[in-house]
Amino acid sequence: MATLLIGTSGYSYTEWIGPVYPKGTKASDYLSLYAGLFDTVELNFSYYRMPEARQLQAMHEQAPSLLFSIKAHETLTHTIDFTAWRDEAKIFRSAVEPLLKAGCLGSVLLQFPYSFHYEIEQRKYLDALLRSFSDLPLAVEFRNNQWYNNRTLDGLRSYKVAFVSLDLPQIQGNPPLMDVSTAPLAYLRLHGRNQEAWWGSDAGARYDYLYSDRELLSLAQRVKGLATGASTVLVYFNNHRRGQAVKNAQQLRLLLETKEIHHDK
Amino acid sequence: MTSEHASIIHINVTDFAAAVAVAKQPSLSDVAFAIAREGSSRRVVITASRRAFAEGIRPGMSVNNAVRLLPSLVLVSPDAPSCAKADAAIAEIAQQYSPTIQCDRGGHLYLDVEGTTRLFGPPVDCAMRIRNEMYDRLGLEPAIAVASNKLVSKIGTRAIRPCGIAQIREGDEASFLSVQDVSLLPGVGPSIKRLLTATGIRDIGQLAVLDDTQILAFLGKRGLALRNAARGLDASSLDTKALHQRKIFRRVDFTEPVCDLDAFRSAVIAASEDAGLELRKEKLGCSEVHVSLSWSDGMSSEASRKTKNQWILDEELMHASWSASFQAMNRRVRILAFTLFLGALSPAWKESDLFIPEGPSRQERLQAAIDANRIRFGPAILTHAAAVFHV
Repeated sequence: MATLLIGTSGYSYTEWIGPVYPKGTKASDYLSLYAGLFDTVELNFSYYRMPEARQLQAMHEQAPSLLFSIKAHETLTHTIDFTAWRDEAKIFRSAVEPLLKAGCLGSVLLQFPYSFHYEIEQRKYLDALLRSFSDLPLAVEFRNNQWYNNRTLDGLRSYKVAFVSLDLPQIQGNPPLMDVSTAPLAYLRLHGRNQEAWWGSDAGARYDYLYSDRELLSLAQRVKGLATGASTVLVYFNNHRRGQAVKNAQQLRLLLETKEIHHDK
Repeated sequence: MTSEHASIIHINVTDFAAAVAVAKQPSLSDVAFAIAREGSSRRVVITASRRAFAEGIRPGMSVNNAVRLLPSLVLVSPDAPSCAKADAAIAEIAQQYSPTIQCDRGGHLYLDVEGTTRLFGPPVDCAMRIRNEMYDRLGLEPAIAVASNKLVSKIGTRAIRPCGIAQIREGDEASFLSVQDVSLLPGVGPSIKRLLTATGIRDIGQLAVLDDTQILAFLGKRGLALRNAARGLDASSLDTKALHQRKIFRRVDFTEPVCDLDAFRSAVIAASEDAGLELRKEKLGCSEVHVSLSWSDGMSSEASRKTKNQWILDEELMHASWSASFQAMNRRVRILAFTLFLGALSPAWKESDLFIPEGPSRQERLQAAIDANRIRFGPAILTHAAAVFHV
């Protein structure tokens, strides 16, 4: 029996006023309204701006029912200073403490860009980072397909760190589809399949996509498969443009009918 | 979408016998157990459960050693009927999605879903449905990979095992394979692995970039097949015959009828080596060797050899085929042709080398081991049997 939670990547988009939030909604009310729609959210602001403990504490108080996944700050994944990252990690670690204490930290998402290659220095860094966050629930997303190998999977299994499954356009340069259970937590990120705008566009255009009913049926099968090897499955839609992520997340939840997927072993 | 051209799905139930045992008796899922035959004086572990594997139990290990390593290890007898039933059930599920299936036993199955997109969606959707159906109906969690050929899909399932799903898009084979551990490549057994490790080759990509001259100098003529596999090249189609009906055969037609034993023996060796290479490329083993001799007077004679275990290596095959040939050579007439059949095929119980790379001979290795023991324990520790007899 696995617990399945579905939400979106981010919740604070002004363009969601109308399709998601009622007209006139203040930015400060987004989160409580979002909590009325979903049980989990993936926080993305923390990638651009180092989060603070009191800020996350306030968010938890505003939406106590929400399980938070939080994207690691860019200094830990994209703009790494191999000599000074430990200080950044400490700051980030102390910021998520309130969520961890309250039992509402779903996962810390470490999303590494295409430029993060499978090289010795990067592997050592990843190993050290996973060790320094070893008391946190972790999920690692790789955009460079060099990481999609048996050694990476074995390594993540040994640390009980989730290997993030991705759904994105199946075009050259993107990593392969790979759903492999490496931890009690399974993590699926759905970025949409906007092939035309994937390369060379801004984030808004890249994530402008609405999954069709047939695609959602297929995604439901994926989620079911992930649930066989995990105790918790977190699913986040990142096709946030015009609130499409919300619509798709609600549709998928309906398809899967229940929050818990039962498997008789 | 290019991924739709990659239509070969490989299903691989890791540690099949153990997985079937757990499916049949779910309480075993939390137990470290090993499948081993009863009654044999030198029992070996055939398959280890995931938990036992995590504790260091490995197939091929003697049961005594395994129990010494893990005293709580539970031993379970092989259940061939249940495994056969599970194989049949997997095939039944796969047949709902495509009539083109290659049903290798032991939880291995390939299917080609090309042209079924309008019915079932893209190949990867089929793969997911098969995976979920296998779990719901049979309690088995397979590793499944979708790729453009059998070889790449097989490496795909090896990369993610024990379970999961992977899709290698057409055109992405080289980049996917290049970062995988070289031991995932079919044909890399203990001997070749040792050689590759000694030369610093860890990834499939390092083997794939070698040109013909380099690979010939490194591994000899038969290294080309291994290098091509590292490049993901595989033109073989699915063999839709059931595995027990399939045979690997080689025929040698002599230019002149022969009565020279040495010439005949060379032909038997060459045929055995060639058939053995195909056997190992397919990652199969055989339990039956059958030879047929055509005589110059139009008659023919046949003989076979069988084993309860598996023959995989050239030496085993040569020995069995020569033994059968010797029995079939019951006439004083010249031989026109020799045919060798490898039958009773099944998935190889262990990863074998595609070929044995050149290096110290067995005699040399044996001598080195004897010398090491004599140096360590004194010259009298090992001596020839004749000397013992005289004492």
